[in-house]
This record gives sequence, structure tokens and C-alpha cells, in this order.
Amino acid sequence: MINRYFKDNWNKILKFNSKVEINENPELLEEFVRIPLTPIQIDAFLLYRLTELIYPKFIHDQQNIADIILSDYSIDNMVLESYVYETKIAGIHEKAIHLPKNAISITPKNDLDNIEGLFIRIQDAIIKENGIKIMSIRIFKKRAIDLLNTHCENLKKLSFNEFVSNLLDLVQKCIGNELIILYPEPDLLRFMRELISLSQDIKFSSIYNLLNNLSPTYKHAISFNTKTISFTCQIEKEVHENTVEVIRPEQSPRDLEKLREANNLESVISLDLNTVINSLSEIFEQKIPIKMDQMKLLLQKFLFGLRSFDTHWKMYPRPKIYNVLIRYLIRLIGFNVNLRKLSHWNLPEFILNLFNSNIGLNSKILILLTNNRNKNIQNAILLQFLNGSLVKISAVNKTNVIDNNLDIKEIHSDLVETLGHIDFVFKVDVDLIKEIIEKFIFKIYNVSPLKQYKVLKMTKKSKYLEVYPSSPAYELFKSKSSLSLLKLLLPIFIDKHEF
Amino acid sequence: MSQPETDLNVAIAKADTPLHAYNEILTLLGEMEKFVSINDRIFVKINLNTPEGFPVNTSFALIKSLIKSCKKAGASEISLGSYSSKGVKIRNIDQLLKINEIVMPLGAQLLYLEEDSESELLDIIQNCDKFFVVNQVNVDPLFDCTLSMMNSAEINILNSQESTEHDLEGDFYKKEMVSKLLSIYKKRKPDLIINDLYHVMEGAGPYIYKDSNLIETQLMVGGTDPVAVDFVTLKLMGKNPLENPLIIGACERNIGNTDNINIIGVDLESSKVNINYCEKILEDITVHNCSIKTGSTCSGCYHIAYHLLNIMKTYMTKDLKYITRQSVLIGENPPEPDLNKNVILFGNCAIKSTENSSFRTIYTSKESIPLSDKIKSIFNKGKKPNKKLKTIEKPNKQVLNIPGCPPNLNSTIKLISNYYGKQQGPNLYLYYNLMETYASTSNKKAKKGGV
Ligand code: SF4
Repeated sequence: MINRYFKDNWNKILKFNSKVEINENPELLEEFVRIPLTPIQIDAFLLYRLTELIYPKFIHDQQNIADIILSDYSIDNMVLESYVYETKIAGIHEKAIHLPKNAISITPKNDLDNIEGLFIRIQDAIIKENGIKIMSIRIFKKRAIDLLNTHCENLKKLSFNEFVSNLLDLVQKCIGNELIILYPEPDLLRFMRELISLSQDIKFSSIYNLLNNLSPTYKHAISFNTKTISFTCQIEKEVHENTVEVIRPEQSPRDLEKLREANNLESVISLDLNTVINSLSEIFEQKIPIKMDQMKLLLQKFLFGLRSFDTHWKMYPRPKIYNVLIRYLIRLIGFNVNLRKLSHWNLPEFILNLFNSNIGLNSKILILLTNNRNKNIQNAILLQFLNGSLVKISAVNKTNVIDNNLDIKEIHSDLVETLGHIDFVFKVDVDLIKEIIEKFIFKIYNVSPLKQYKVLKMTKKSKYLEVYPSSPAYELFKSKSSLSLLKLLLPIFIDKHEF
Repeated sequence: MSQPETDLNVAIAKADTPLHAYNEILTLLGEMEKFVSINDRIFVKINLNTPEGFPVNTSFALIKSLIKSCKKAGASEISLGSYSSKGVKIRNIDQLLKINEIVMPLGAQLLYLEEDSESELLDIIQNCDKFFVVNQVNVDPLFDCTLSMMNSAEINILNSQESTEHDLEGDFYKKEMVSKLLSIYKKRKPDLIINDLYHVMEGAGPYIYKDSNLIETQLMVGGTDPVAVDFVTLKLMGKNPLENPLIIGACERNIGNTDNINIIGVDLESSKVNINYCEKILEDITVHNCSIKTGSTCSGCYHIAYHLLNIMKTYMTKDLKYITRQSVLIGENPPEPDLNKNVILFGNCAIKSTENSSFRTIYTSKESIPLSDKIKSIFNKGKKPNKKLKTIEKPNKQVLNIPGCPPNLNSTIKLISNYYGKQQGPNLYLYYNLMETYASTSNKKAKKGGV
């Protein structure tokens, strides 16, 4: 039932996991496995350590799990296969016990509606038969297994980008159609399900492909560290293809400069893995749509992380913006651009309040991604806000007007018939987004105040950014010169002194 | 089921979308054809308070539906009109929100009613065939919620240029406001009123502030008598209409009737909603690092200070951290401020009644040696000069007077922004710049419309 390629790798992982406890130096076991469902090779002990760290945080923090495969059809007993894993450490699977055919029975009616009752029944049955108290169940519908199998069969043939797209589609289908059920339900799964229903008909893979097309070519590495683990992910985008490589811990020096030189990288970022995991789990705890207050809190934390350069994250080469001399010179001409004093506590609230009053608490915003070079509109996305929270994201089918016209006013009036009243249309050119992504994400080490100024100047040209109808904030933005805008905004973005 | 045909029919609709609720209102009241005859010239009074988003102004989706149904019923001309409440010209709001570009293709036009012509609105509503009011309901500090009778105001509520001294005792501010708001109705009553409370802004309103929260009631109220429609709206919102100054004022002036209201549509009692109303006590508006002290206050200063404090709370977080301490004194004989630093005296009553208060003067003491003692000490090395403590009295320069009875909101923002400057108050400075932007949007393309 399960694809061979997947199964072989999974068995290899189980075998390795069972060796770890009896081995004195498991880190010396030089074994490689694939990260399940991916073509990415990883040191088996590193995967063990990562699972030990991540699984309890994101999936379930208690031992012993039952996996159940259910038929897609309503037959008397829907269970096709069932397994029990006795896990000494939450998430570390060692040995699968295949349960006999009728050990567990699940009827089409009632059982799946009362998942808690079903769990208790399965728990009791397994204690009786195998003497193992399971603390969670994972139910896979047969269709999910078929999809997983197809994905795994194609893994060897697919390019990296195709693999990511496939995986994202697989996750979206399995979670969106409830082909996978976990009990107790982890926040991650609930978050993903809510995210899928928020984004409606937008495929995660198309978002990935869009972002991939907008990003420049790069070769970076992210080094993750905790007290016990240290490893590096090398990510590279060439003209048509991406690659990801996980570098073994002992090959990943903590010295970022050496790491960069050894691998001929553009830059290396070092992150504390525990901080990353904690931040992600905080995001997954949020209910979607995320309430305004929660959003402010999340943004505050994100900005705090951003300003904590040298404490929460490091980068080599050091971003120019942190160079004291450059900052001092800019200060002399009246601009304070000390990112270490980014006003993380004030900015989210100020910006969101301003956004609400300008856009409204309920609003519909159409975002058009234009390509000025080809004189066409690449994508049209409709965002719907309710009481200031984003409640729906949907792709808009291109009409004749959207296809052949760059006039924002005509598009606005044309779409009213099909989409109802649209409060604002934002037209953003891909060149501007590319510029922002390149300068502020991929080449942040190189971003200087002059480059920031250039991007700001670009945003003021209607060729790159246009809003219809207007709003006071946008009018102010357009009416001020880039320099006076910086003078107006920098005191809000940057604190005068530490608090 | 046939409904009794009386003038006091008030329809309550509840539906899954605002447009369905609107259609239901029309169905209950007898379709638009009952209100519009062929070739009628219609004037629709909407809320267009500031160039902000929904629900500060009437929902554009609702306006568009209304225009379409009027056109379908045979209307020849449809004009929309409003007065803004923050001293912004309607043409400036239109230049930003492009209302005319949205409604003109549907066969309607937004008029630029300005405050300089008092009789303008009166002329329009007396000369049009039908007069409709489409009103967005939100919480309001003065009248509990923004009723349809407030919508017809020919006044700039928050930025009155008038300098008439109000009498604190008689609360003339509110009385004058009620009288101004109702003056139009004495001349002509609307033919159709729709109170849109499908989405209501609660907590802080009627503009979008930090404490504003939008709730979905799914309700809409419509009818032909403004008093009856507002009466039912207040009841739905859990308020006693007979305590509302506008309803009381309207009944006193025989503008409408609260007896014999015939409710059609959904049941009123079971549709009542729970709303968080605006803070009635200014001290209860918690603004970071700001102590609010009120003396005897009439509704004039309460009204404007309510908005000022909410603006501070929404936009001045960073500024108030820099400022560290600020006191806002409102009304007659307010309590002394906690600190003599950054004292804002809001309104003529606060300024006059604290003229002799101790915080107005700063006393500093300085040790000084009289000249004769200094000379003596030069010649007599063993003798130490006698130091004397000298008290210096100076007017407290950290007091900001905001004159007005009540003060004008825009001028208040300007005075406070100038007082703190852009270094200490960067957020307020940006807010002030935004205000200036919409007050001064170019008039080049503006056109004057008319019925
Ligand atoms: S200054 Fe203020 S409190 Fe005093 S009478 Fe005028 S409006 Fe009322």
C-alpha cells in the first residue's frame, strides 16, 4: 500500500532511531537518510535530533502513536491497515507493530464525527491487545496514501521546484479535504486548515512559484544553532533551478566567515533554532482570521527579532546598515537609521491603526501585479477584511479588461459587476517587488541608505505603485519628496533612545 | 400578509448580507416604486464625514444599490450630499475617494455642499421631488449613536468656527446642537430613511480609533418618519429612546411621533443587540502616560475632548513615551495636575478657572550670597559668607492653553503638535500632516454639482 521508495527510507529511519539509544556515540554513525516526503538527504542523527526537538512542539508531546489507514468508501469497517509505534521519546519512531485486520473497527457513521470517543475506544483496544497506551492517533484516508504514493514515486524525476510545488499541493489537498486527521489535533494542523480555507482557491504552489519568480539568483546559507545541534542549510537559486542542501553538523563551522568562504556563499545568517521554533509555534497557536491585537503582538515580536542583530541573529558579511561609521555620517545629515533601535513596540500599532482608518474596518482590496515590460497584468488577488482582520484571499479570474488594460480606474469599474464594490485597487509592478525582495531580503548585507532611498523613489512612481481611489496616507506619501518622507517617517520607525 | 398603511410603519430587516437586508427593507415598505415616481429628482443625504474607510461613511455598496433602485423606479436625477465633520471640504473627500467617478456611471452625482452657504441644503431639499436619508449607525459620544436625524446636519460638528460662549450651567452646547440638527426637519421631512446598522462600530466611534470594534448585527431599519426610525433603532440597540436628546427635541418640535409606531419585519425584542457605547466619563479613557482631570464640564468640551483623547490613544503611543507625563485639564475648576509639566488646559473654562492655580507658577529656590558678605569674606579670610535662600517665581511655560468654547479639534491637534514638536511627538506630527493633506487636497479638478 505504501510506496517502496518512501517505505525503504522510513524503515531506514526506524532502524537508525532504534540504534541511537544503544550506541555510545550515535553522532559518529555517519548514516544518511532522506527527510520523509522530500529528496533532501540528511544526516540520520541530525534528523533524530531535529525530530526530538520539533515533533513535541508542533505535533504532539507524548509517547506512543497509532497510525490508521481508512477506506475512502463507507464500508462496515473502514480500517484497511493499522500500526502502533511505541515511542520512548515523543516523535522518535523506532518500530512499527502491524495490528491484525480487525483489531480496530471504524464505522462510517458516528465514529468520525466523534473523534474523541473513537480515540478512547482505539486506546482501550490497543492497551488490551498490545499493552501499549497510545496518546495520539493519526488517521489517513486511502486517498491521502494514494496522493503520498504518487508524490513519492515522482520524487526521483522531479526538479527541486517541482518537488516543492508538488509537496505544497499535497499538503493543501490532504489537510483541506480532511484526508488526514490527527487526534489530539495539533495547532499546526488546525492553523493550516484555517489558512487553506482563508486562501480559498489559491494554490500554495502558485504562491511558491510566484515568490520564486520574483526572487533573484542567490547562494546563501542559514546556520541553525542550539546548545545541542548545529547545522547549516545551503540554499541556492540558479537561473532555472533551486537547490537545498543540509550540511552535517561537524562540517558546519560556527564561524560564519569561514562557512561563507568554504562554500563560496554570498552571505550566511545564523539563527537560534529554539527562537525560530518558539516563534513558529506562537504563530501556529493563532486562530485564523488573526485578530488585530494578536497581529500587533506578532508583528511586535517579529520586529523585535529583526532589531536584535548580534543577539538573536547574526549575519556575515555584516549588513552595511549596521556599520557605525556609515550610520554616524548619515546621522550628521539628519537621518537616524539605527535598526537596532527599530521601534518594534510602537510601529505595528501605529501602522495598523493608520491602515484601519484609511482603508476602513471592512474592506475589499484588489491587488494587481503588473508587468510593465510586457504591458500586462500577471496576477489579480482579492483581499477581504472584516473588523480589520484578513478573512479571505482569493484569486480573481482575469477578464478582458484586466488582460488588456493597465488603467486602474477602468479595471475598478469593470470588476464591480462581478466582484461587487471594491474599496481599493493597488497596482504594484513586479519590478518593484523584485527590487524590494532583492535589496531587503536577499542582499540585506549590502543594503545601504542610498539603496533604501532608491526603492522609496521607485514606489512614488505610478508606473510601479498606484492606488485607486486614493486615501489620505497615500496622498501624503505621494505629495512629499523622498527625503522629506524619510525625515517624517524615520523618527516614527526608529527610537530616539532605548527604553 | 397585508400591512396597515400608516406613516409610522418602521421596517426592521435581518439578512445574511447588507444588500439582502436593504432589499428586504424595500420589500417591507412597498418597493422603491412607492417612493419614486417617473422623472423624480431625488436628493439622498449620506454620511461623508472624513476621507476614511467604512464604517465612518455610508457604505458605498449600499449607496450604489439605492441609486440603481431609484433609477429602476424612474428617477431622472439623483444627487448625493453630505457635510463633513472634521472641517474637510466634500470636494476634497471626493478627490480622494473618487465618489463621483463611482456614482456618475450609475446616473448619480455627489454635490459639494459647503458650510459657507447655510441655505444651500435647504434649497436643495425644498426643490427636489424626493428626499432620502441613508445613514450609517455607529456609537456616538453625544447622542449614543449616529441617528438619521444627526445625518442631516448642516453643521461642521467637530470644527465649529463659532466663538459663542456657551453657558456651562444650561448645557447650551447640546441644546444648540439639537436645534441645529433638527432645523432641516422643521422645513421638510425625508420621504425615506434607512438606518444601516448591519455593521455597527462600537467601543469608540464614530471614527475609527484604537478601541473601535465592528460588530455584525445583520440589521437594517427603514421608514418614512425620522423620529420613528431613530426610535426603533435606539430600541434595537438597547437604549431608551425617550432619554435621547434628539428624540426628545424632535418630539418637542412636533417633527415626529413616537406613539403608534407599527413595526414590520423581524421582531424587535428578539433582535436587540448588545453594544459597547462610548465612554461617558473622560477619565475612563485610558491614555498612556496621560492623566485626565475634569471639573464641571458641559457636553461641548466633553465631545471634543472625547475625540482628542481617542486620537491621542490611537496615534500617540510613542510620543507619550517620550513625553513621559502629560495632564489634560478639562472644564471649570479641574483638579490640580499630578505634575506641573506638560499641562494641557482644554477649553476656556479650564483656562479661566485655573488662572490663579499653583501649577501656573514655578517656584525655584537658589542659594545666593549678598554682595556685602562676599566683600567681607574677601578681607576676612576666616569668616565664611552667609548663604541665603532666594525664591524665584516664574510662569510655568509647560502649560499649553487650548482656547475655545469648546475648542476646535483641528486647531487643538495643531497646537499640541507644535507644542511637542516633531522630535518629541513624531507620531502626532505625521497625523497632523495627514490631516493637512486631506484638508488641502488640490481643488483644481473639482466641479460643482447641483440638482
Ligand atoms: S469651555 Fe467647554 S466646558 Fe466651558 S462652557 Fe465652553 S464648551 Fe462648556
